[in-house]
Amino acid sequence: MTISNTSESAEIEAIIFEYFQALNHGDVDAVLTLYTDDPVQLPFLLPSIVGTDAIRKNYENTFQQIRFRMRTTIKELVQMSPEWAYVRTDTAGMFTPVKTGEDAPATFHELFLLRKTADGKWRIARYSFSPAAALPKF
Amino acid sequence: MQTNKFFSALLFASYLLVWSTLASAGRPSATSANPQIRVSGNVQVSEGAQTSNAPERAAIEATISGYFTALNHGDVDAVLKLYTGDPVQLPFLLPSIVGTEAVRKNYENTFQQIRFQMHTTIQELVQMSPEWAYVRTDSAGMFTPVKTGKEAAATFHELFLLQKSSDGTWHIARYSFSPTAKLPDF
Repeated sequence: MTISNTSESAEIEAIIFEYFQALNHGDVDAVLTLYTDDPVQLPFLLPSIVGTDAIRKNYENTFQQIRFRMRTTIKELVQMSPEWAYVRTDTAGMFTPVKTGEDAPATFHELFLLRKTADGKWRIARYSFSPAAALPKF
Repeated sequence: MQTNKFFSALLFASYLLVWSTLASAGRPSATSANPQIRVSGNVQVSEGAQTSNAPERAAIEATISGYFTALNHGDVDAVLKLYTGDPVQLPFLLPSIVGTEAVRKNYENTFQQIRFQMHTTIQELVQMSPEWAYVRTDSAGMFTPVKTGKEAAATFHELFLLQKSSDGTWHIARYSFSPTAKLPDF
């Protein structure tokens, strides 16, 4: 892992690990608390998702279709300014379509832009991700 | 010497303060239903999408516009010039691609397989610090697998992290993208 230019890496790391924990638990509310109030998500095979309500709906849909058990590696964590950081991650684990219940290995990579909000907490402002290999049908 | 260092640090700190103030004042609007401003043949910008002063914004737009022109021309050298010396690409259905040589090989492979005629809209352009900016784009157009020669409509979205070089130009440091709908086989 490369950590650059930050004394706040522990806080930023904590947000990323909480994110993947919430994803593995399929916990929409927990996921949403980690985002800023003006988030944009760039998911794979869907148009960009803009705003809190649309992002909530997207996680609700996703968790109805898929269960995740992912382990994440932070490859880079760079604070770019007092209020912006990016984190690049690689994620691997099991992906289980609810419809079939069949576990399949899956790998993803993710690019997070985090912004420090007025309360001093880092939150996810922009999030782009895609699978690093073909996924099972879901 | 000590004094110079002190003043450099102070100057840098005041830069950071100015930039963080500007960034807070100009919080990016996430809306994408804005009118469009054309910046080049194949790239347009959503009005109100930018948080940057005019000269930097123009320099950042030039890099993005140059990127999609090079992509549409299948021009590996032109693409590579737009990247920093330590790029990372996060393509869909491939592991992350790290470093100039690997990024070059990936474009060579891609352009052997696919021809692009894409039109791109800059949805957001935000300068986060004196040397970092991000740009979020939507791209739509034709995607032609070389194998079949059959054109198909394709849409993508892209997230670029750009870094300012010492010569004042902006280069792509990190680039994540994926299709927003299923692509034809290639």
